[in-house]
Amino acid sequence: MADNVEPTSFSLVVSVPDEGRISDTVRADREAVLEAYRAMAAGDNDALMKMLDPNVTFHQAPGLPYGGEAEGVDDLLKLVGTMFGTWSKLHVDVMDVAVGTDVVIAYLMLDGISRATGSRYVGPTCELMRLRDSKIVEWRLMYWDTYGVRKACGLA
Amino acid sequence: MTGTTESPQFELVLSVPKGEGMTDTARANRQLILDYYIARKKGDPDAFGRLVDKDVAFFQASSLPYGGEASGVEAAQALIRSMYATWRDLRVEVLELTAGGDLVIAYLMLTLVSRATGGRYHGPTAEVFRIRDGKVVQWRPIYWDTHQVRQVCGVV
Repeated sequence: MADNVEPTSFSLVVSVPDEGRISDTVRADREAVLEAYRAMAAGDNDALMKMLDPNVTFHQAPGLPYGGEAEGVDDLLKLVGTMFGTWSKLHVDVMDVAVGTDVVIAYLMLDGISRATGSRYVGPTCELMRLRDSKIVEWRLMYWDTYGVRKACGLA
Repeated sequence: MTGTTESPQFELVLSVPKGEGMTDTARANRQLILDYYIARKKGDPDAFGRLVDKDVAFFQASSLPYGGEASGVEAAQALIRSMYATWRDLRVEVLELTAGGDLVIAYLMLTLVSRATGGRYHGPTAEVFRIRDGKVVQWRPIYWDTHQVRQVCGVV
């Protein structure tokens, strides 16, 4: 957000929790998420799934070919399955993992080949996980370019 | 991410720097971004110039009506001005600030009204900052749904 040519109406609200609330717990959560990624990289595809709260909510942007929201582990797995069904090849590079008061955000590079078209999509992605009692209660994927995903998949 | 009958060829790689996380540097970086948002909220016209490195790289997804990449302060400001020119109303709520290593990721809620159509866009956004020596060297807002932004702006 720079200066000049402001919109007619601009408002900025800062609702950030106090830094002191970044607790040892969330530091441990970061380590737990990293450990799950390491296990997945070693072949345990369900490592992150073991961290899910039974009532977890899962969110993918509606513009994605597999967009939608899920509540509960079973619904989440269905939506994740649809996502995997979209790509014939999927490479995920976990580049950084940042922590806040009760969220962990993984910064990923996603490189996928569409099963439908053979076209490639590459873009950074933020994977937000909100944790409670070391379980993921909210999981939200933010893609660099959902329109770019649609194009790669032949939907645009 | 779990196995399904339609699993793609899946590879997960971890490039997360060792020993990173909520270090003293990450804590200072988080405060830097928080101070910036607070200065912007107060209308400080110099906040952007103080925050960024002279060679800052600024990225907007190419499918956005104001998509593109900019290098340097003036080019970044020009890109931001074209973003401002797209929206009549712009509300930003900063919900969380996460940090790890040299990265700060702000989790925002954006509410935008298109100048061209009057249509409304509402969605979470991850604003990714890479920081070196107390200056932002890379700035990348990751929108929830670029496809939806295009629809709201009448681009699709």
